[in-house]
Amino acid sequence: MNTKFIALLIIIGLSLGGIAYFSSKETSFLLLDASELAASSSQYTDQNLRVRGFVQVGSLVREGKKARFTLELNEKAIPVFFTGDTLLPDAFKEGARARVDGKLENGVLVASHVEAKCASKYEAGYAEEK
Amino acid sequence: MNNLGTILLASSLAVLFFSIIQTTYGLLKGDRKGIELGRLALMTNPAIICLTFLVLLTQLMRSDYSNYYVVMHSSEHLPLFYKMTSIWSGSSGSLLFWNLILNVFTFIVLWQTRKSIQDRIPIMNIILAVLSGFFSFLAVFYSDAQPFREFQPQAVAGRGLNPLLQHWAMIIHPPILYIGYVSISIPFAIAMSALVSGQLSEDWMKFIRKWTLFSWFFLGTGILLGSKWAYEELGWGGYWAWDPVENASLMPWLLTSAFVHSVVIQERRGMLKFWNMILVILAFHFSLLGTWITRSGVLEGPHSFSKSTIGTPFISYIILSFLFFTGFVIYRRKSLNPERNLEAITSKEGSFLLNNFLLVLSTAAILLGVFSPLLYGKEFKAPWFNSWGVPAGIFLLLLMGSAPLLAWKKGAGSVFFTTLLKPFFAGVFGAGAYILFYSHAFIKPSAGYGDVLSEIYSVLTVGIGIFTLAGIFQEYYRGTKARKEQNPEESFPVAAYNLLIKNKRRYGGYLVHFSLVLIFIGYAGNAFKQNTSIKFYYELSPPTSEEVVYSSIDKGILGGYQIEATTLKIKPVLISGIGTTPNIQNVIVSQEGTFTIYRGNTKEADLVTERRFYPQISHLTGDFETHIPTSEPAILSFAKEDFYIQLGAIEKADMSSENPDLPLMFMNYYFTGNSQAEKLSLYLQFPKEIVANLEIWINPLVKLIWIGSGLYFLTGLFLLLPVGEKKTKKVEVVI
Repeated sequence: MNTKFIALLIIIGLSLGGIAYFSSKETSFLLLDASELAASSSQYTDQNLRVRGFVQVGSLVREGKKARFTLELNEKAIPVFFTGDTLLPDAFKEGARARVDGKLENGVLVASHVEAKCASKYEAGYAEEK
Repeated sequence: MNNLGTILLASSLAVLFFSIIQTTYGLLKGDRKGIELGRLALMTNPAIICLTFLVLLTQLMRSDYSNYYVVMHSSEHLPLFYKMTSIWSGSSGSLLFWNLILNVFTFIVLWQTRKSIQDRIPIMNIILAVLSGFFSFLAVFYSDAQPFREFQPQAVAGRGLNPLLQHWAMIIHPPILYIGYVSISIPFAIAMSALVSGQLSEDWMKFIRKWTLFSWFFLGTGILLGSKWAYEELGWGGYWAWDPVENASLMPWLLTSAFVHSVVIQERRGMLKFWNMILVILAFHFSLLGTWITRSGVLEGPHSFSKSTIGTPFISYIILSFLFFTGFVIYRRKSLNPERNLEAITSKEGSFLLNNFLLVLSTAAILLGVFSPLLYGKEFKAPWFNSWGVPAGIFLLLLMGSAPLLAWKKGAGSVFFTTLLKPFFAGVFGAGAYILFYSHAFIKPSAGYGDVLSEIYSVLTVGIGIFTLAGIFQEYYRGTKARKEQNPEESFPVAAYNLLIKNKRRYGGYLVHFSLVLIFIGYAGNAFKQNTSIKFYYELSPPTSEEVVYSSIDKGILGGYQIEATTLKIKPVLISGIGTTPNIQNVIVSQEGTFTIYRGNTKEADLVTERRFYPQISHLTGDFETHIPTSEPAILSFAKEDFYIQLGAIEKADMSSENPDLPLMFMNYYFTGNSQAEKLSLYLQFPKEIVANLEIWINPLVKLIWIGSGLYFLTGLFLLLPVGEKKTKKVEVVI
């Protein structure tokens, strides 16, 4: 009976694990810094990316709900096209710290969702000082 | 005051150190007096920690800006109540709070065992002393856990309490959750004392079952309260986001749920002794891990504090302690052998085992999801957790429904016709009725693959839920009938009541199942959730008061609802209530949209939703720094669904450039300009035309979640309170 039971556990475990594994491609983000993405952009095509960086000053062009800007970190930058499917947050400004969710297409990060923190607030935060 | 607090913390560490040495010495030499002295020292520590807590509380209430913690987490403009609750809004304060609760429980358990002469009690004392000592150690040596750091020179203003935490549920949610987290330490210490001393007889089992039930109850209540808060305060239309901090509290709850079930198997069938030890160890360390996740800030989430110095010592303690006690379980494995083996998969034991397996597997999967950003740079979104969590949950629901109906030792075949058949038909019938109901009442999602799957899950959940409810009803009915046959003088309701009171563990447990089924059916409504965002066009009205008023005649439609925009005001709200003089430190700028909701031709309500901008004050200069936005959704609740709206971003009408900073403009308008003409010119600087985004959700069956949550609280309380069941011998004798 114990072997039968263990076999049952394995079947349940494998099927749930299988669901989790196969859905993970669509339901997870690869976390990257803008500099990492800019350095080797070719290997990150066709994946969900969540890229951190700063909105380069002077790069932001709004076209209605859509927007184009450059995300930079450590002097390396990647161009971003924002599709306008969601709203850009209030804190989204040039120079702000941003987290961009999207996919890389022809060297441009096509993003549907952007989160931002204005630089001063990020530093103040709720955190205790180091 | 700072010095007093620091000295108290240091003396707590010294007292605990003394207690550990004394108890160890007493154990090694077999010296009763040494052990007794160690115990008394440990019993003094709660008083010291209480005093420390009071010192910090006093500083917060007096807004003593010479204390770093007070400066960072409170402000003189807060109402007294929030000044006090900010004691658990920051890292060091909440670690002190952890220590306080631990010491209260330690005191209780030491009192309960004061007459016990069992050899395992001193070991329990050591385990508790080490744990509390660790927290005092952090508070003395690590800056992020020190609540009494001096702020020099004294700050001019406090940074205030995180506005998200200024909500009634946030006042009681953290303490309740913390009580849940911390109280696991007690059953853990008792079980480990038995393990380490090798006294593995079963007489302490009942005692740790009660304590585990206690923390299971508080964890569950805390989690459900947290959901309620998220739903009413965060303004994103949901109640559970699989956020790291939510997961941190869910994991120990799942493990304690597993434990309260598997302990029944140990008591009844003598199986799972090894497993139960592992579960207690896991539950305790996951509760520590939860505190670590919340307080070390290693994982970025909305609640997390930024990276802090306590991360490394804390995780080291967790890992070392886990390895030590797991090692002991393996060392003692021979005395933990099962008395019997499993005889049938579909027996009661079998279903309990499966339930344990699923709960622990889910915990492991959540753990993987929580740590994946650290482990391999990937972040899993909520749909990933749902992808395996929903089928696992449905399976658990099936077990919840069937386990009470199955027989010990025998397979399901033997009881199918006597107990399972009627609930089974009820479930099938219920699922059918649900399909009819929702295709009538809710709008079906588009026929994408994922939507069809979630529709199937939804029907399965409701069907199995009704199967479970029918099973519970049948159990009650049979139990009551059997009782009435034995006691013919009792009327039916009296017999039902006595049945519940006299067999609280069994029938009270069914009531908890009942509340969980309601919650699950509420979750199933998510398959028919609708969400959209509508833009409304507003024009600036002429000035009439100090409020800036925009008005609109736009309409929008979602589902059967029509939404009519009327006004949008930008206005001041005082943090500490009406009557105080407004200044830049205590004025919240509120964007308040009013919408009239129609269903068909009948007007249902005027809903008011806000975005509030709390001032962040610099603690160094007392000047305004920036605004922190929060959401105030409006919810129109019906029996079948909630209509939920939240005002979103406000744009310029041509959407050409970045959104106007209306809160800042309002501050300017409100605080400057002395003459009428100046005010008017400032008023006219506001954009003439704006577009406001309104996020709208229709959330079916949400009400069942809150009803189920309330019931969970009540039934859990009923299980814990010492009503009913024959009084066993006094607890002191039991352990």
